[in-house]
Amino acid sequence: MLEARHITFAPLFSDLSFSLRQKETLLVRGANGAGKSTFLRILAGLIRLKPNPLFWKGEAVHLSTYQQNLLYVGHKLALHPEALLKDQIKLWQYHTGVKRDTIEKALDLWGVASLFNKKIDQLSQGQRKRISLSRCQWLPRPLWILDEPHTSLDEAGLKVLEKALCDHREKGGLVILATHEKKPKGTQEILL
Amino acid sequence: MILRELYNLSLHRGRFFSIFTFFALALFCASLALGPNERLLKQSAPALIWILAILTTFFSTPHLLKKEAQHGLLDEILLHPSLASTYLLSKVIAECIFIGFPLACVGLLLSPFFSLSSHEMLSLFLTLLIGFPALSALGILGSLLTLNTQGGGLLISLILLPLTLPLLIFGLSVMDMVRLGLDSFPSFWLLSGTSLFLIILAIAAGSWALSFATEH
Repeated sequence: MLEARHITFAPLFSDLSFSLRQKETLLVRGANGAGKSTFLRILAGLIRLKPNPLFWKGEAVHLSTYQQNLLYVGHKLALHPEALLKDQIKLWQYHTGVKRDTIEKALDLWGVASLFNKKIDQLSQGQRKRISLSRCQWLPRPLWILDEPHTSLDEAGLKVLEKALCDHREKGGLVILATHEKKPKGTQEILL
Repeated sequence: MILRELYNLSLHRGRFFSIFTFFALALFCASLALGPNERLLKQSAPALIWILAILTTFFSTPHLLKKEAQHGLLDEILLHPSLASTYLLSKVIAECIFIGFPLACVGLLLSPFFSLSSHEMLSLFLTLLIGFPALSALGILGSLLTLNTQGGGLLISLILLPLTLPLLIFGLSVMDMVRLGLDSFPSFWLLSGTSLFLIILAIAAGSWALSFATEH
């Protein structure tokens, strides 16, 4: 479904190719500074390469339509630091058109629903990560691109994340993860 | 998108208060510094108010965009199906509502300190309202161009201040016409046309700059 052909981004990496089908996971691994985040940003279309190395469902990617199929959670969590969580929900509503109830249910699942009246920049890194990752539940997209989603999460958070990843794969979704975690069986891997 | 931007900007209410306070205090101090000479006050008021409005806009908008980029909010915008130009236009509209209109009102409220007549006050208010969208669009363009640089504020001024000169010239020409009792409509049209041209130019260039601004 997603194919990348000969991605080169000097001096970080060169000639990287892969093909990812439904229910499959691609792990992007490498030392700090190896270019994992840059690679994911290229896959999300946030860094545009010429010629375009990405193919979605067999066709060369047209960014505006391709990006409607992906959920990207990067290092920067895309949360408004000066907003209360309830303000952030409102911003998400305006931005995506998703109903408030749906977002609140997802936040509840991640155990952060009680933080509605807390300012985002007063929350811990783990709580912010949970809020950002809650998009996995309320924003249904077939392709997830997650940049080190395991970092900052406690054990309970990791469980929610693993369940979300399993459910997504079972429904036929694709996952691309930059991670330092062990490689589970049956997953593809790119080492930078 | 407009609603999002309005809500987004409303979260910076505290910052706007300091912007307006700076604008009002600077104007008040300028009126005291110029002394009681009514003629001098009348002549210098429009230029002072316009220059302060330009500087206030250019030093307030970059900070907001830089913060959005630092927290990954611009990525969210780039992943949205809307065109970059729609986002930038929404931002301009939101800034006009939250910064431009109140700024023009502060200018209007303080214009009695400069002995302006009610007709002159109204004209000044209108020129600021017409010119602000272009100032806002240029400020946004500047902040996108200097997003990854240190001390972007100074760079923005150097790059974009020359572009604001036509606005300043036509805005002040309206005020001159009003003060002399001449027909000010041609100058109003020139100001409106220049403002529209700069908005289009800044949004087109900003859309291009936005796609590169987050490539790091």
